[in-house]
Amino acid sequence: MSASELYQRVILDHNRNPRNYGELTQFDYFARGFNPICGDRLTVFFSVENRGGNELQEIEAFRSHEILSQMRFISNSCALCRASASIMTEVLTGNPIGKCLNIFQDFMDFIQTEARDEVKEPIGDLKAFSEIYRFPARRKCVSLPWKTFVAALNQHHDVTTEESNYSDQGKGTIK
Amino acid sequence: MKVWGIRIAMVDSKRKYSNSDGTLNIQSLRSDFPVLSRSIRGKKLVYLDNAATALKPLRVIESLERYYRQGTANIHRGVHLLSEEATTAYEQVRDIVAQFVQASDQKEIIFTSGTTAGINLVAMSFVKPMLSPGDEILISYLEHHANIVPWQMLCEQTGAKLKIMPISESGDIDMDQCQAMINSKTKFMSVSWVSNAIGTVNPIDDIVRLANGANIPILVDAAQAVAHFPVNLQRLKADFLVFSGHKLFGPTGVGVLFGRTHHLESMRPIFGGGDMIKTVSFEKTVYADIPARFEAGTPPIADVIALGEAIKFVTDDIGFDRIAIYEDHLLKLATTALRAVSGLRIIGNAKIKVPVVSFILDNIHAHDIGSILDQHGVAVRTGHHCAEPLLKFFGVPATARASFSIINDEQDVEALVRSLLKAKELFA
Ligand SMILES: Cc1ncc(COP(=O)(O)O)c(C=O)c1O
Repeated sequence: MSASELYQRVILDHNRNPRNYGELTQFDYFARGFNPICGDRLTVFFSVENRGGNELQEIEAFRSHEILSQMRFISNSCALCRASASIMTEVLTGNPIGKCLNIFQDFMDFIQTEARDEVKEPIGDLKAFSEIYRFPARRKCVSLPWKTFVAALNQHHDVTTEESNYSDQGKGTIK
Repeated sequence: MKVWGIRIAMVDSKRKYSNSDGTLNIQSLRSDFPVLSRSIRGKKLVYLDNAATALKPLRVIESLERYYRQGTANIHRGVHLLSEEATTAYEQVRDIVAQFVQASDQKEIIFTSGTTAGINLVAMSFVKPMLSPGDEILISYLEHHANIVPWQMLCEQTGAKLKIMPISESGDIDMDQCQAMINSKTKFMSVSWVSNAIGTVNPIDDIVRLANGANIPILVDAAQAVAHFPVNLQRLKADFLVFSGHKLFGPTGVGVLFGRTHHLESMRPIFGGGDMIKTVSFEKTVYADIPARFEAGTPPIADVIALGEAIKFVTDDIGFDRIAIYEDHLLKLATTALRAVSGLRIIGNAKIKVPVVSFILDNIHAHDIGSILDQHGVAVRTGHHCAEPLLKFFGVPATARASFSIINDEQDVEALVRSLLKAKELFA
């Protein structure tokens, strides 16, 4: 294990050149996330489009009529948190909210399950966080943007890593 | 000899861990710390988090083990031999601590679970009853949360106000402003001797004298002081002084509250229970005299006994004279080496410091520094160090903090710098 396994090239790249970075002037949802342990802060903004139609709703139970159409963030945080947020904006944009929540759940499992053969390989650049499960003290850095996203969906504008709402404990329920 | 502005007596008796000229032999001292032989992620452990908690020497570890292997018993309760032995050993430590801080009477020494517990006890038992709405409690900008939150809680309950002594850009308390903040509403002062986050050694003699002059009782948080220099409560006229055993090479879960006799005798206990009473009936209980009055229930017996060993380790085996000389050397070495790292900024450049260096690096968050150093076996603390207001003052959300102690050697400084350069390379 070396520092370059934790800080894979992809993570360093997203940290240096975060995608979708900046404020969104028009948005449907936003929330601020805070990690009181280390002082990391970020704000996540996103818009949804209503795609109407009922047939998809039956397949994807949760808010399938909404598609996440645009997402941006700003952060004052460590590299893991910033890269996680940057990648999150990439992998969620264009997906129905229900699917976004599935991605969230799978990713939370991915970053903390010790039994590696039981986890699903995540989509896109999220794979770069494959070693985080070995670093319990750093998992919250990676999960904070996601927790903030889920808080925003629930119309909660402030969330911290220390709250039990919007569980980042993988299989936990979403409020 | 004067180091960190504090006069330190030279002890010339033959001590442990000595080179032939009497100077400290660091390698023989290190060999008494079993954890140091552990490898971390395949690398030699470089422990630079001494301000969070000190590693434990064999002398302390063996004492803990001895109690559980050979002498487990409760204290003050049995007539059997084991209980007598335990009681004697426990009470002897009160004497050792009294000498350690030069208290005039061992009944001024109360065992607590740590610094936090000591501050809270004084807040609830001594300060709260004398507060009225509008009264003021004075602390400094440099405090650990343990010396902020209990006072905020009191203020909430009583309508009193928390006032903060300002500091300068270097991280020194502004004594003129401190003096100006004391007024007839000031009912209590609580100030740390040494800042855990940036290493400032406060002019505690001057601050206590100011409080004494204005007749305001003062508590000194000595959590970060006791491992670095001697405490003399005959000279330093603090009303209360608190510290934790674990930052002094002792066990976790045990600490000390010193209080002047007349204060302690006027205070009501917070916890009631066994050991803190003279007689109990359902109509009325008569509290025990001090110090027992404040030690309800079974205390951490093994840990108190081991604290005694930790103190002897510091005063007898090493000696504050040698600690002062060696740590001052380490601080200078580390400060110079870190200043040479480009893009590194040291937070807190007080006139007098213990060997604690808090820093930030351009373009690398403190948390990432911590993880990368950890990959090289280097343990530092990252974050706000339980001193959020202080870091806010310096305009940074987090720093990395390397805190040195007598267990560190020059190679540790080199390892720190080397791994910082690696971090810079990775993030370049
Ligand atoms: C200056 C200071 N005060 C108080 C404390 C709290 O000590 P404890 O957690 O042992 O009660 C610490 C510990 O970090 C400290 O450094």
